[in-house]
Amino acid sequence: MMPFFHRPEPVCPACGGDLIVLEWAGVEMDLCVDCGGLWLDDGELELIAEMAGVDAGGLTDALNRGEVGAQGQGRCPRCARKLRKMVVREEGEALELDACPKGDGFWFDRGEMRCFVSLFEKGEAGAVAQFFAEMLHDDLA
Amino acid sequence: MWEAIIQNRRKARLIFVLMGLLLLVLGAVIGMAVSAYFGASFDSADSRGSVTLEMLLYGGGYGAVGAAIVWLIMTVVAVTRGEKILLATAGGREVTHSDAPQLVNVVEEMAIAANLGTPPRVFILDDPLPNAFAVGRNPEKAVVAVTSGLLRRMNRDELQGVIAHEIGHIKNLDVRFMTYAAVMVASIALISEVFLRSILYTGGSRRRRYSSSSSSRKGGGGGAALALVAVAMVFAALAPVVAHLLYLACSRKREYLADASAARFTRYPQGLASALEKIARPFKRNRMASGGDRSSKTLAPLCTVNPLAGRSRLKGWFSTHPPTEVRVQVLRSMAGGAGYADYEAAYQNVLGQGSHCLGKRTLSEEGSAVQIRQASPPEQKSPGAVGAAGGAAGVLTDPLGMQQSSGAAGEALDILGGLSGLRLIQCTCGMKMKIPEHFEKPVVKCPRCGKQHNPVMAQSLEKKVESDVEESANPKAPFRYQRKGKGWETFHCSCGQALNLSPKFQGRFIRCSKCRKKIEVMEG
Repeated sequence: MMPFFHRPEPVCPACGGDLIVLEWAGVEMDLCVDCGGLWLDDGELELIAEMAGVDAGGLTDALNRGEVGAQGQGRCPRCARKLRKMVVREEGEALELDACPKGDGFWFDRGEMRCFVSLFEKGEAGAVAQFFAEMLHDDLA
Repeated sequence: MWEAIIQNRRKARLIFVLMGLLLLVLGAVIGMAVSAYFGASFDSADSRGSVTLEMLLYGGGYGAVGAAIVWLIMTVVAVTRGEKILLATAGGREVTHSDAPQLVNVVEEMAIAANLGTPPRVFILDDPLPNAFAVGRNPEKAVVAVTSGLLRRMNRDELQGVIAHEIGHIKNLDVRFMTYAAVMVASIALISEVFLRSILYTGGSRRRRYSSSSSSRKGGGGGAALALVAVAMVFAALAPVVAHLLYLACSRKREYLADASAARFTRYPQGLASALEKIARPFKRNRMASGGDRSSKTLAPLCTVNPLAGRSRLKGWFSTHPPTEVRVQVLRSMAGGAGYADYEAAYQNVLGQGSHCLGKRTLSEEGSAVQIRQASPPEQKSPGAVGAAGGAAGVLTDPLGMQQSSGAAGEALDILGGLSGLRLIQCTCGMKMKIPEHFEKPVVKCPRCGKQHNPVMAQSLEKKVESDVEESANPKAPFRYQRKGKGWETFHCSCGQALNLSPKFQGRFIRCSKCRKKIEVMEG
């Protein structure tokens, strides 16, 4: 059966390159093979937290509390809305991400995922950060 | 159980008659209003210009017949193509044993437990929100649909609980009633919508013209026509709401009944309870509430948990589903066993002594007590399990000690990947990489272990099942290999055969020694 609506081919918000879907332990992320950026869909963090048996509250709160600011780079690979800059703060340190205004997910430029992992590794949702460290072991090394 | 089904049927008939009457009355009122309105405004040559009884009778009759015709057409469409349209708009895909054995197994298990003759067909919808629903006009032709979000979040016990709930709906003939009732509600909504819109967009201008030029001449007749139009407008605005309320009144009790059936079929009420908790747990941003998503208003009453919850503040009357907390509480407090009697006891316990969910005869008909079974042991990861989402974590150390979700998750993701034309590379470290069809990079590096993969090796997800049986189903597909240099090179054909290129190779094509496919060799 043909689906009624075809989704546009998702492209990298940063460089327009092809996104490949990574799947590990049932969690999906999109990786741009050109610039190394990562797209994390809405809900995946909760899924990881659920599997790890930890409370993702702190982490998702940190992401939700993030101050949404000026227009970021590119468009959301899911809904094609323009991404907005978002600052996530944890224990005095800050990390700037791009987020979909509709809430479809987050974009991590190359290197930002490493910052993200080190930022949250110690906290209560450390298991979620460790998951990314494990999933993207070589990429983050 | 039979009593519950008969009771459902009786109630369904009553609701049906009421809805049918509503539909006819709506048609009649609109017909009267239209005939009076046009009669009064265009009969200006006729000096009377008043609304006659004859006019009203004719208009009402035509209106009622028109409404019945609309309903008939919609019913025919719904009965013959309904499931297909519903599933197509929701973006579903049918899966069979070979695509998703775990999921299909669970469905078949529950169909046997429910004593359904034929197991329902299974569909997967691409929606991150966990949910499930059943459609179909009779138990033999029913369809159970689950979202990918559900498969990814549930363990086996929970998945079983949700599927059993849907099978319960099918068994209790809720699905058929819901389909027909939804069509009735939709026809009523359609008729009043068309009427109201035509009044708002065209009627307005005509009325203005009418009142400026000829109202003084006509006197009372015009006023009566206008009053009738106003009455019809009010009626058209209210009818869909009333129809919807009738529809919902039936739907809530059915949820408890399906829960009771699920507890009995699975003999494990905790499974459905924890599934309901997981499903009801809000996403950090409620996607469904923001609109524009695929699960629509029409699908809502069919789902396990209302996906539109949070959109409306009015609870109770307007909800398709009873509050999830209550449902979980009832299931959780089923201590003694998993039978209907135990559900009834738990229901009374939670909602107070006076309330009843199941009739006395249902309870007395139930034979021996149904024991609650033990929770399933955590899934064992068998090496080399196809598409085991969790299996991946077992290759390296599993630092998180994660609870694995059901293996059906990986299957679902693969199937949906195939829907969007992705091809699969499976790395030895357990990472799966899905690359788009037109991907042209010569090499893909696994972000987990750093292994380099050749995208040409990628397996088409869509053809995954077929290609196992019948190799190179599409021999004419252009197949290319980009040379890296001028030296010796080895690459793999899509059939898996390793092919060598010598430094002397000058040709444009090479034929695979195994599947005889022609491969274009491009200079590096």
